[in-house]
Amino acid sequence: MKATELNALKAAEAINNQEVSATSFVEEIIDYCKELDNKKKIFSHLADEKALEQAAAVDQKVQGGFNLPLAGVPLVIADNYAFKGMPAAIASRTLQNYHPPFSAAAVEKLTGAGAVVIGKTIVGDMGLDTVAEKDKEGSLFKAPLYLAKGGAAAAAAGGCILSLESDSSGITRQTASRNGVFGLRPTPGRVSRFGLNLCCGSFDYPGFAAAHLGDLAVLLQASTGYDERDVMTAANRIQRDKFVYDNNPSRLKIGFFPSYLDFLDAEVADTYEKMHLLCRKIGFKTVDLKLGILQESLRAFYVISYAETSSTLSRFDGIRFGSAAESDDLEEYYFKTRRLTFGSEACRRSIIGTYLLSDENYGRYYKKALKVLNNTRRLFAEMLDKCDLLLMPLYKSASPIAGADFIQTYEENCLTAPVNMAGLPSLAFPGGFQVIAEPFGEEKLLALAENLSIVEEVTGSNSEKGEV
Amino acid sequence: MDPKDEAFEKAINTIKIELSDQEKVALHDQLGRFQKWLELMEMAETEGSDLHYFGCSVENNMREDRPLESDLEEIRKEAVEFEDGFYLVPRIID
Repeated sequence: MKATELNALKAAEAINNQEVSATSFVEEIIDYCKELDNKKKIFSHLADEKALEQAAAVDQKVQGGFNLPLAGVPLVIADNYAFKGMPAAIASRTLQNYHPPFSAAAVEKLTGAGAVVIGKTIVGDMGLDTVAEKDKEGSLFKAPLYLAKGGAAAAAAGGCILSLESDSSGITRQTASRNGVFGLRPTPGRVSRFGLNLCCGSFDYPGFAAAHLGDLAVLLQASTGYDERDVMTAANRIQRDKFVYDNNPSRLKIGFFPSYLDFLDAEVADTYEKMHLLCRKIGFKTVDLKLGILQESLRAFYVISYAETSSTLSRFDGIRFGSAAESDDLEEYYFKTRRLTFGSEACRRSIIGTYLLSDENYGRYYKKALKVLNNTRRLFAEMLDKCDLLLMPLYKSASPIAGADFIQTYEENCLTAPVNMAGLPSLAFPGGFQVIAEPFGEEKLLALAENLSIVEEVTGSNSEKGEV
Repeated sequence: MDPKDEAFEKAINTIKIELSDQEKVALHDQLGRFQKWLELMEMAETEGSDLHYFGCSVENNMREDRPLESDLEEIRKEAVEFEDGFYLVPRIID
């Protein structure tokens, strides 16, 4: 059975009404996932017994009279989330045998609502948004770029209903869109990061993928909230004026960027133009905007990301975590251990990140990047003063560049990384575009998305869903 | 690789990753291409801009420290070696 045949609310309703047991439902999904994983390497770990244990516990609660909002709903989580009882190697030898003795806050919330974790999906080397290269021995990451975020691929192929991932540069949203499903990166601070392995603290935040739009709202509602273990989760932060959408499109003003049409490949430009016309047809007010800082922002994003990653990864020295090399000399021990355990991307970011932070280069690169970050944030805020939502493409080309080198793959993120830098929530649609709101404006995004339910008209009825 | 690029050598020695000469040359070449790519950012007009560390306004919601219950047996399972209630780690002081 494919999970895409149901949405989260329908599945939970059937299980809460005891029309079907969580155990039998999860069993079917796991069998399907095994077949799927044989064909496409999407999972780093399939839960099997552990998932059936969770499902049995859900059945017990349901039989005891509990009504769980996500009863028995199959959930996959990216490998960089901790889940007690499952390995978290994060595609690196650094953490190859690591089994976290705790669960991530977001996973706890979702499983507390009745969701069943059926497996963990592949991520890039150490969870870094990266492309598979012919790698040195440290990395276990072997997946092609379009599967760089296995969770979105699993949601598209029917391996789960809900997918919890991390979104740093925007690859999660791009992968979701390319696979014909929806992706959401909530405002930083809405979902706790406790238990998510971070490489770049400024930009690594949770992200979601689901085949049904409504399921993103369910995921957001179930995983949001203050968590005292992550001091940066928002305590009482909601929109100043709580947004209430009265089904009147003319109340929403949407910003478009016509100048991007020349920069996009024909297929993506065509979809973007169709969306522009569709929004007008539906009755939304539209306004043409210009944002000329994307390329500078993208570069600043990577300077900050490299700098923070080099600092974060330095804690992996083989003493407290992961594999270690044999040596009697401490200096040699560090050198050999990191050679043994770091993959290409981790190695590149560690060394170049340290270089960028050196006395000679700090002002030239890092300080400059922080100023560009400030400009990016200000420009997005100015645009969101003029309209309620922004509609932007997600990528330049519908297919990622095969065999691209590291700089070309970074350039793939020029339409998503600046949005993440500005700390804005973004909802990705199949077909290659995203809608962006002000911080904590997810309700507006979902209201617009509801109105764009005829999006299938634009994106070819999601016909490629499942053809990962 | 430019033998005079001391900052690059210093970065390798700071982060402590063993690389072959061939790997050093390849990585130095990548650094050069990366710096070239960053020139556009260096040219960005930022006169009068403040440094900013976060994309959105953030605030730390602090709480009082307090001990939480944990399962020591579970935690010990993660240790490579464990003896008499202590983690065994490589000797770092001779």
